[in-house]
Amino acid sequence: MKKMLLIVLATVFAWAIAACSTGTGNHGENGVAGGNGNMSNIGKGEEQSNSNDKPGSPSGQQAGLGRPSTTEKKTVVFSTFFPSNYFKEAKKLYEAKHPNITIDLQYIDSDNAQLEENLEKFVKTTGTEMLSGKGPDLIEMDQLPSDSYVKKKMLANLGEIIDRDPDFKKDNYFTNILNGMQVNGGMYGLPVGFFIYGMIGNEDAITKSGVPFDDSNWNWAQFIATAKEMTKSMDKDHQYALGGSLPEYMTTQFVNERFATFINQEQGKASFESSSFTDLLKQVKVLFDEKVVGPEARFPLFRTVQINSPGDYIRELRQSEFLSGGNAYGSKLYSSPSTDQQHPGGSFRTYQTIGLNERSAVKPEAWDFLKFLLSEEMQAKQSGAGFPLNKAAYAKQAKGIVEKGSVESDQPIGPMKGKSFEITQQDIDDLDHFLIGAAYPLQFKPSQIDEIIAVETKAFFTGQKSAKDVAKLIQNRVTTYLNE
Amino acid sequence: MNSFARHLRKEWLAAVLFLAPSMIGFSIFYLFPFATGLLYSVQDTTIDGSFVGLDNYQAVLSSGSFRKAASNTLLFTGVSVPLIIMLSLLFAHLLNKKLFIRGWLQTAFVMPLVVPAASIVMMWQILFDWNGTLNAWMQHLQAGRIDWMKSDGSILVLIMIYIWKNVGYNIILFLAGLQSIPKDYYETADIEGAGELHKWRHITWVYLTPTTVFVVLMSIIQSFKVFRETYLIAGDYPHDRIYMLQHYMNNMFLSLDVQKLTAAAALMVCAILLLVSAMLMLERRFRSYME
Amino acid sequence: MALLRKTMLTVIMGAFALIMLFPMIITFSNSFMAESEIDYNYHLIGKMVDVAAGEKNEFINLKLIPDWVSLDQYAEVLIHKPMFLHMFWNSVCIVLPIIIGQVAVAALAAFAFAKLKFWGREKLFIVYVMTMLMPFQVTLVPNYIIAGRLGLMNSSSAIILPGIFGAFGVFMLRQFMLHIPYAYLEAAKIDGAGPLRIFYSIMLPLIKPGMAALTVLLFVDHWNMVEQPLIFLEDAFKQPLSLYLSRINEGARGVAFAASVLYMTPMILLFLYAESYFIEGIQMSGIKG
Repeated sequence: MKKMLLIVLATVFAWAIAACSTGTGNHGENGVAGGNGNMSNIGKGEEQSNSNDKPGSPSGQQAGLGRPSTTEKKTVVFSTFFPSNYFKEAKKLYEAKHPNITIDLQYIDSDNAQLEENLEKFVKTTGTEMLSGKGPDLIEMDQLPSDSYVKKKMLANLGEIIDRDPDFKKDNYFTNILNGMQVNGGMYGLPVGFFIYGMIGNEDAITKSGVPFDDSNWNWAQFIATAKEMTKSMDKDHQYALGGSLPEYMTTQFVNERFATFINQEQGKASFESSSFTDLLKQVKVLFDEKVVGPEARFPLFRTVQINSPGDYIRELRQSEFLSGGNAYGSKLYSSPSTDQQHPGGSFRTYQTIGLNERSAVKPEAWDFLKFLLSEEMQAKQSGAGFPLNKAAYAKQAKGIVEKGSVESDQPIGPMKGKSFEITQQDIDDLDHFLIGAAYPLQFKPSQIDEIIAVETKAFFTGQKSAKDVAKLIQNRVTTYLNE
Repeated sequence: MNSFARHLRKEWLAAVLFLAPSMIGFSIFYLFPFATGLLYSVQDTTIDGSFVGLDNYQAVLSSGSFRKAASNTLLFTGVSVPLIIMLSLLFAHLLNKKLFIRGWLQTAFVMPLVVPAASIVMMWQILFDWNGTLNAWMQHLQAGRIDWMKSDGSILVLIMIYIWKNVGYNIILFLAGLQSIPKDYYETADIEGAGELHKWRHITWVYLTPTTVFVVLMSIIQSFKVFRETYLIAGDYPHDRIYMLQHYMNNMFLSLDVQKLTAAAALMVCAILLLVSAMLMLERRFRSYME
Repeated sequence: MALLRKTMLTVIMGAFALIMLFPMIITFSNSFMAESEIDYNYHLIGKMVDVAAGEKNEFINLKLIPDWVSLDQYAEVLIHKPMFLHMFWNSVCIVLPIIIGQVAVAALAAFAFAKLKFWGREKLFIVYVMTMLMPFQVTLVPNYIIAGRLGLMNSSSAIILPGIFGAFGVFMLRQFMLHIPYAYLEAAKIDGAGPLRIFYSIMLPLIKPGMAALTVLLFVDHWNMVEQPLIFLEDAFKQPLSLYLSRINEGARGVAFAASVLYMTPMILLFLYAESYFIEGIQMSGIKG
């Protein structure tokens, strides 16, 4: 037995040494896994980046970035987490226009099973690269802790660059989004697209109820009170005031509305172990128990929506008119309750926000490519994944859709299959109002505190733990977070 | 020049030659990064940073979470390391005795070492999850459920997992140590009619000193490594009973705050340095005895 | 009487051994469950049963014996996931050079620390030990810079080279060498042997058990290494198996057990083999001592 083992081990050993030394060089080309494995593989541009070997000179170009080189060979490394056809297309077009510049697009191809590993890898690797003064020239920030990057001065202030670049006309873009993205007076990323948030409401029922309201400036409590009033006389199917919301997320919204009550960031104090928080939990639970809010509501009066494109807007708006069995109704987009009543405005979330490495050695070229990503030419190709930041590109999209006169349903099965929804200029005008009114950025990823609250409160809403226990846990974990 | 001095110089030269291969690689991959890390702790950024004195240390020390993490780590290490040393020494002794299937038993004890983190995490969840088997039994006994990883009991679970996983590591080391004690020492003692306890104290324990020093330090290092599994179970911000220095440092790294990270590490190293010096002092006594 | 004692002791140790082996037994037996059965038994991990909505409280179903034996998991891992075997191979190619390199380099250095006298011996040794205690994140950034300078990025050398020069082997072998009485070495010295000769023909044979233990522990440490390859090996083709099993999220739970069994196999074989080595070690020191 032992002898056999020894022989087996020795053979494997000898074989391994021989094979390892000869086999390492060609894994890339012979495609052992051919990219069809379930593991991630990092797509690489055809050329190895060499632009990073030179140390960056962040202070050298204070007064504007200067023109991108048209003769010198340069490589701009652009790192994203998810692969994106938009970026691939942009790379192709840009390189065709600027033969001396190579865009080295790096991304991680991952299936769902490996998503978390790859995300960990992406976050850690990018952080290490940036800390060691290398790092990609352009970075898609969606999955990264952009606050930390900004705090550590790793990203260039695009606001300054924009101010000094006569080619970049702010007015060509949704300036409310640009302004909303400012952090401490600077702007450290530009998104390729954005989503807006609001509530689709049953317009017929709301008008019929005759309850007065002002959706341009209401908070959650007012909304709940108003909606309850509206649904008072309705039948069972229409009793819900709000659909499509989970109690956990409802709670985080209420907490954010009264942030100062629960969190004192200055002193690192949290006050979740208080009756105001346990009351809040119970209050939310009552809303769900009394079927004022519920994820399973069939015909809620309102439901929260994320709107990704003009077509998406129409689909969200019109599909209620095609409900069968006499349940059809007309809908309208309303503003979501705001958390800060002093400064009302809708919320938006940016998508594919790109930051420029402060230490990049090819800043002018990287900025030029970023501008290209936001140009009308590129942005008009944006479909579905957010509204383009470029106004002209948006206008073109909107015009196209109005001229066509209708939007096809995107559902491959179900009652909406094959339906087409009518669209008019009036619809686009209504939508514009929301696009321009969006002022508050939602973080791409929920904040650590929101995450803790959402995870822990679930145990309360499912009836597993008491409000007090949950409050204690949240208090415990949030305090650690606040005091780091 | 006498022969003694010549001998010393020759030995010194030999030492340099023996050390050279290790020293070269060690300097590049460990010493330099280590020194750079310490340098970061007194600078403001990692690239072209300027000297900021002890600001980072002040920031770290004033962080309530750091203090919490430090005291948790101290508690965890202070309890689990002595416990694991005692257990592994005991098991090593027993496994060194005459047993049936001794080889298999020895192997069984070291097996937890090979279990991958993913499997450990799965087992951990199966046993200690809110819906876990342990809670199923507790419910069965009408004892009510406990969310183990989110309670003060979490540190006990951690200690258990740590001992389970690493006791084999130490047993190997102790066994190898026990087996390298020359048998004739015991034979001599037997002739002199020494009792078991006497033999243990004056031969076994003395001869195990270098191994013990090693095992203690390795156990401390291993105690830091429980972080990976804890992290996979409870995330960045676990219940504050099991929020360790490794959590603090990992979070600092993720928020790119290398300054606070290295300052915290430097403080930790200072504390361990005291311990290492003490251990080596103990060992020196053993050495002088050997020479 | 002695037989009774031996039996008793064996039984007691056997009971402990079972506890130690428990997770492995579970892993092994569950690796023969079909994915659907795994899902049925363990889908409640990390979930909250909605009692408030009237669902019945259920628990995770820890099960030793599969309802029916299935090789699904193995088939899935070995046939449908070509990356698995490839990563397995990568692990071998990373771990073996580290072991060979570190044992050789460390034995030399340990000899100097244990048996040669030179100025600053103790202090230098403390420095070696301290680097072992440093959390990975602290030296990550400098290490990254160095790997870049040496052109090691995205190559397995970025992991192998630091692996070879780790302080662990030096520390461990030094401790083993401290056991060897000076008398053995003095005898050779009088015979006119130089330090290299003493090292090679006297010290090395004596510390064989230590080297066997070192080999095993180095194998385990580096086979399970997660952080370094995560950062230094950009290319998924080059990543070792440890990354495959670094986390198991819901999606991969179905094959986790079989993957774990395959993952553990080389380490178990090594243990079985090295264990015989320990016994050999005893006999030898018995004869010499």
